[in-house]
Amino acid sequence: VSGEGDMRKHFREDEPSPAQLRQEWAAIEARLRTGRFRTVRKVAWGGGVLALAGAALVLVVPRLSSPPLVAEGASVAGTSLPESKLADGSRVSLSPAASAIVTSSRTDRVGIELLAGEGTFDVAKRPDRIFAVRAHGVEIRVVGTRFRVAVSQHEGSTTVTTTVERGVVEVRGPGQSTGQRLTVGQS
Amino acid sequence: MNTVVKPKEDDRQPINVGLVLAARDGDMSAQEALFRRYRKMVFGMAARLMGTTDVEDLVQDTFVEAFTNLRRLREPALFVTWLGAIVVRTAHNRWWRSRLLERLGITRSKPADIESLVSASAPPDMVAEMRQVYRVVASLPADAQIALVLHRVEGMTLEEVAVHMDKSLATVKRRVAEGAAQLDRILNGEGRRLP
Repeated sequence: VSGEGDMRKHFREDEPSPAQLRQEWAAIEARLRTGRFRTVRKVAWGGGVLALAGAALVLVVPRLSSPPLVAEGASVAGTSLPESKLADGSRVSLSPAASAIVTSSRTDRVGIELLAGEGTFDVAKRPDRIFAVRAHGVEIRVVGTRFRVAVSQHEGSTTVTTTVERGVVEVRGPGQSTGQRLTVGQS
Repeated sequence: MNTVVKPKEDDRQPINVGLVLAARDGDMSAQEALFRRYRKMVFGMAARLMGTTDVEDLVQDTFVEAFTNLRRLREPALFVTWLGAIVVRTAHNRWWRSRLLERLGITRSKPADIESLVSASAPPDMVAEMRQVYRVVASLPADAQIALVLHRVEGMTLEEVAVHMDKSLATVKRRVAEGAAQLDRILNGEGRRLP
């Protein structure tokens, strides 16, 4: 068989046309200016629970670097998952139709991406690690608190709602380098 | 990740640190210049990782992610390696999502489209080997899939694979060995032997 890397030179390497490059950059630029998704028109922070009906409840826990972040009782699809306890002691509860992916499980950072629906996160206090939840470009960072994040779609726009139930969170909109701190009662 | 790697002179172009710094400060023209310079690299890497040329969304996600988080890049000279790691992470996430949708019965996975990936000048035996590699790749877990492509196809050293995947060297060695063993079984089963 071929040596490592020999194969790469036999792949096509077509040059994109100038028009294609312009089109692709325009799409990227639009997302950078307006948010992660072009459908995002506003980011709302505040109270209120968005109830979303649906059938599937999904929490995907990929195998990541050690120590593994294990959601006890997590299942892939079709079954009820009222609450999952993470290895660091935090708890995640997803609404029906919600879906989330654990994107990082390092000792210094736990990352969860909420793709749709609503999730409630009860985060164990561990000052030495960052617990971050991302939803459509919005990132919520916490140390030890309980909060809800809901993603809703309405007439082509996506709304991410963060509700703090205990403690303090920091919310960063798409592309924002600094975040807004929210405490209980703030929106 | 403590492994130290040298900046990769990808596309045989030196890293323009000033350009990276300007892009990090939010200069959109600098970001566009970086996109134009590294789009080909990102597209090619994404295509080879996913086994298809239908990777425009992945390319777009990679650059949006890169420019959104560029302030986190401490060493601008490592921009290309950092960008490559984002391609890998984005591909990994997409792989997981597609597997999820597949398990839910919402979609069915598409086999690798080797013909669309291969150069017209590629010799037939190489094309046959590519088909075998990607057939094996499709049967592997995400980590082994990515590790095998980065090592076998992209030609990265195991240390570079570890950096791009944000995994330990030992883990990468296991994943590559897993893929190589599977590839060996298939090739042996078809009358060929690995050296």
